[in-house]
Amino acid sequence: MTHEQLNNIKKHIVEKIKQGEVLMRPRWYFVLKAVLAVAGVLLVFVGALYFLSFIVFMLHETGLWFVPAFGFSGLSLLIFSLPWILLFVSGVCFIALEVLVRKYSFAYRTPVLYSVLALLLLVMLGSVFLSRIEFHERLWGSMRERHVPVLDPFYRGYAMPHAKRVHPVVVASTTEHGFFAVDRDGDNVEITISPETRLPFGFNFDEGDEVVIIGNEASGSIEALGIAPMRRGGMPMHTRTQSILFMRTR
Amino acid sequence: MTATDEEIASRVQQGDTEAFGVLVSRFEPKISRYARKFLRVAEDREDLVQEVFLKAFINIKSFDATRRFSPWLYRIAHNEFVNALKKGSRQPFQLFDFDTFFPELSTPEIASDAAERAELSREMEACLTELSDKYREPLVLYHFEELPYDAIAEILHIPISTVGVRIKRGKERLRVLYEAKFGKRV
Repeated sequence: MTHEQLNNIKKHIVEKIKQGEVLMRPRWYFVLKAVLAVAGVLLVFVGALYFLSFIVFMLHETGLWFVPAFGFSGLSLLIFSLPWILLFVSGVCFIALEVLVRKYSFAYRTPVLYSVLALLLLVMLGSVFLSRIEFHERLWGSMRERHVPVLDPFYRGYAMPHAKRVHPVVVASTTEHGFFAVDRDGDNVEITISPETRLPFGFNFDEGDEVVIIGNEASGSIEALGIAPMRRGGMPMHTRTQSILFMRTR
Repeated sequence: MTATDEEIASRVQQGDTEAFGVLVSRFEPKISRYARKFLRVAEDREDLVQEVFLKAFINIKSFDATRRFSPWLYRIAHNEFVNALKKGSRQPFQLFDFDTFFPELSTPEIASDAAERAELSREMEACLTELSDKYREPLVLYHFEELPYDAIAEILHIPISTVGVRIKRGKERLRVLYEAKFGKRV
């Protein structure tokens, strides 16, 4: 570009500014834009957090979380019963979050791997927190009371047992060949234990304990192929069993 | 004493629109050179440079006067030029640049001596247009605009270590291109 061309550019720009053809955007425009961007990041973060924690919640509720204790067969049961649509939605939320966050200098100045790991850690910690305060249990409970459309069927569809051979139950009383239990619908089922039944944690269940049974159900009876205790964060779940059972059977 | 770019930008923000002319005078040659080296085709170059300054004026109130003005202006130019390049070619949509995925060992910023500069200039003049945008841009910003790595990282929105790696790889590729073109080592 020649010196004359350069002068022309400057002349053009200054002229346009003087004549008011171009105007400065007011500061509030940028403030609003920044606020909306932060709100967007928060919204997507909450979305990712909600879906991830919901997946963990529904895996616990359906007993699927505990089936890997039965080895390869348990693991394949888990994989085939995973909520793939929810996992996809969580993944989309997470990618959207990473894309939005990378507009900020603290993110783009670091490799993608680091910011992905940091976000993953944040979402996971948030999920643990929601699990500790029993967020989804409380939310579902209040929705059932008020019959909230969409959300109540959503929770019912995902969090009620749906894997054919996986049965989360509460031990009611022990018998000679097994025990009686109450399932998630409040129905009584008889559990039969045979020498082939896998007991990865031994048989040390008390009345009121929540256990997951692997096996086919036929007319109110299950011949157990495997039994494992349902423990959340290393703690037995029976402390909350009574209230859950009461809530579900209403 | 001459006012700094940031002081002038601050004056423009407060309504002294005439002062923007000073910024145009200071940065016009640099932005034009950046456009000349980064954009392959000459058409619309003048319009694009003008557009960069107009956008800078329109958005001047988003500039944080406590930070440096030049990376902010170069960022606007980068966006404008990249958009212009995209218009002309069918580039696939990319969410992330794979170069920025993993941490890399940072390449230290070493001032090159006169001989190396001359050698690199020869290579750049001869083969720069054949180098991919990804390597051409940091090389142009570093060698022609003489910007430090952190400013380049700010303009391109990539980690500082990636800037170093791209400059290093860009130089290596230039050498290969030069040798392939002229059949000799420089």
